[in-house]
Amino acid sequence: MTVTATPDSEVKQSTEKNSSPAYEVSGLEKIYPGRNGDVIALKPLDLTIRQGEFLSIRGASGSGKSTLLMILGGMAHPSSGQVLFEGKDLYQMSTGERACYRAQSIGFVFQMFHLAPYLNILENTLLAYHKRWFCSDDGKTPVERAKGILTQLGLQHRLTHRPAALSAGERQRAAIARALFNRPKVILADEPTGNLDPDNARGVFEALQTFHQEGGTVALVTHGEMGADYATREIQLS
Amino acid sequence: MSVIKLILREMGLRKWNLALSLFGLSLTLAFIISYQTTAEASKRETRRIVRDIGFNLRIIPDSTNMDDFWFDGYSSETMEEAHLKKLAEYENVFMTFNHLEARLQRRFDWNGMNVLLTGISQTIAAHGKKPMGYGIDSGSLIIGAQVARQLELKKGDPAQIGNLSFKISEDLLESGTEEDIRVYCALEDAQEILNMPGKINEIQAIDCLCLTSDEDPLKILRSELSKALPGAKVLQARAMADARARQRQLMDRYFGYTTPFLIVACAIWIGALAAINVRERRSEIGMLRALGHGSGKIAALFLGKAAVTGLIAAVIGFALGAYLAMSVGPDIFKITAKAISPDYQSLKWALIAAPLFSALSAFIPTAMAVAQDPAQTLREE
Repeated sequence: MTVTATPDSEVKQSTEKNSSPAYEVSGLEKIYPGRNGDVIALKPLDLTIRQGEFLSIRGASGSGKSTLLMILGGMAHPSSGQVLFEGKDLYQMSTGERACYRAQSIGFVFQMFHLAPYLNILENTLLAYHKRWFCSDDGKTPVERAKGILTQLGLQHRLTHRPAALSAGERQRAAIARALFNRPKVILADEPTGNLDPDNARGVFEALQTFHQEGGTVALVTHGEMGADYATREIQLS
Repeated sequence: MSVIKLILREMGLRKWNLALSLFGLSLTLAFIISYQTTAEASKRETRRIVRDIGFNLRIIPDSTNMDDFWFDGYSSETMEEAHLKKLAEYENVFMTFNHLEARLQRRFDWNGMNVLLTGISQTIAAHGKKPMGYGIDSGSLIIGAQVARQLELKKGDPAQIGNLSFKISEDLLESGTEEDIRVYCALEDAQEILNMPGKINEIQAIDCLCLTSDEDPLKILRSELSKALPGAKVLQARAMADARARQRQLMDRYFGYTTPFLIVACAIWIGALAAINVRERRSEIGMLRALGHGSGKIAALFLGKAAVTGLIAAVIGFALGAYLAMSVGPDIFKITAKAISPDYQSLKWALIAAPLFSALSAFIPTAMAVAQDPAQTLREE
C-alpha cells in the first residue's frame, strides 16, 4: 500500500506550488529486519517538497516521521524507493558525496540538541565549518559568521559558555545556529521543541520561520500543534 | 576547528577516561623503561659474576695424557703460542668461543715453595666485549693467598723468579682452591722463566652457547675447534658453563615472560577505555556525520586521542621508569649501582612506540565509531 502525500493526508495546502521541487520522493519505504519479523519503520510513501516550503510532518509515534527525516538527510538508506534532491538521486551518490550534500545543503536540528559537551557554544557552531566549502561572500570569517548567527538568536552573551551552563531553550538555539552556519538550503528539524517550554518553543519556531522567509526549505517533524501555525504545508503519516 | 583542538578539549572534559588510559600505558612503559635502564647494569653485573665464575672451556693439545692432566691440573704437552692468534682469527670463532686467553703453567719451585707458575696472555675478546680475566703486565706478579702467607709477600713487594725481577701487583684473597698456590705472571715472563719460548699448554675460553637442555654444546664446540685448530681438544667445565648460561638467561627470561603479558593487558585496557569513550560519544559521532564530516575525521578523533594519550604516557612512563630504575636498581645490582642512569634512547623509542601502540589498541573501538549508524544514534539519544 502506498501512502501518498495526497490531499487526504495533506492537512494544510502549500503556498509554494509553483516553485521547483527540493525533494521528490517516490515509493520510499524503510524496513528493519528483525529476528521476530521485519519492523516497518516507514510505510511506502510518495512526497514532493518544494523549494521554500515549510513542511510540517505529523503522525503517531512509530509512523516513520524521524525515519523519513533521516532518509531525506542522507543518513539512512531506504529499503526501497527513490529520493531525489534537486533532481539527483541521494542514494545513488557515494558516501562521500552524501557527506558533501549534508555539509553544503542540509542543517539538522534534533530534539536532544546533540551539542559537544566539551566545546563552548561558539565552537559548537563552528563544528559545521568546512574549509573546503566555506563561502565568505560577505567578507566575514567563520568565527564572525558564527558570532553573527548566535547574536541573531540572542546568544551573544553565551558565546564562551559550554552547553551544560545553558538552559534547554538556549541549547536548542545554539543547535539551530549550528544548523544555519553553512547556509543550508534545507533545515530538517526532528521535534526540535520536544524538550522546551512554550516560550522557548515559540523562539525556535520563529528562528525556523525566519530561515524559511529568507527562502530556505524546512521539513519539521512535530507532535505539537504549535508547529503547524508556522508551516506552509502539513502532512500526516499513518 | 582542528582535530587536535577537538581532541585536547575532549580530553579536558573526560578526565577520568584520560587518567585511566594514562595509568595503564604509563605503568607498562615504566616497567619496560625501568628494565631497559637496569639492563645495562644487569649486563655489567652478569659480566662480573661470570668473570668470577671463570673460564669454562679449556683447549689443550690433543696429545695430552688425560690421567696426568686431571692429576696435575694442566697438560704436560705444549702447543705453539701462535695457536691463540690462529684461533682468534678463525672465521666466526666468536660465535662459539669468546674471551680467548693463552696459558703456560707448570709446577715450579720458588724459594722452597712448590707453586703453580701460570703465565697468561692478554685476553682476546669479540669486538665490543670487554676482555675478562686478570690481564697482567710483564714484570708484575699476582700471587695466591697461600703463596703470600708462606713467602711473606704482599702487594707492592719486589720479587725475583729466576733471572727476572717482578713487583707484586696483587695478593689474592684465600679461595680454598689451587688458586691459593698460583703465581700469575705475563705469558712471555713465564716462557722465559720456564725456558719455553713461544709455547703454551692451554687456551682458556668461554663458550657463547646458551643452548636448551636438549642440545649438546660440547659437540658443537668440538666440531668448530676441529676446523679452527686441528691438533687441539676442548674440555668444558659443565657446571660453570651452566651457571653462566643460567645467569645470562635469568633477566631475559623474566623480561620475556612478563612483557608480553603486560603489553597484552595494556592493549586490552586501552581498547576497553576507548570503547567506553566511543559509547559515551555516540551522539557526538552521529552529529558530526549529520554535519557532513566523514569517516576520516571521526577515525582521526579517536586514533588521534589514543596517539596523544600515548605521547603523554611516554613522557610519564619514562620519568616513572627512570625513577624506579634509579631508586630500586642500586639495591638489586649492588656491584654496578653507580652505572645506572636514565637511558634517553628509551625515551626516543617510547615517544614513537607508545602513540603507535595506543592507536593500535584503540583501532577496534575506532572502527566501531566509524561503522555506527548515525541515524539510529541520533534518534535513540
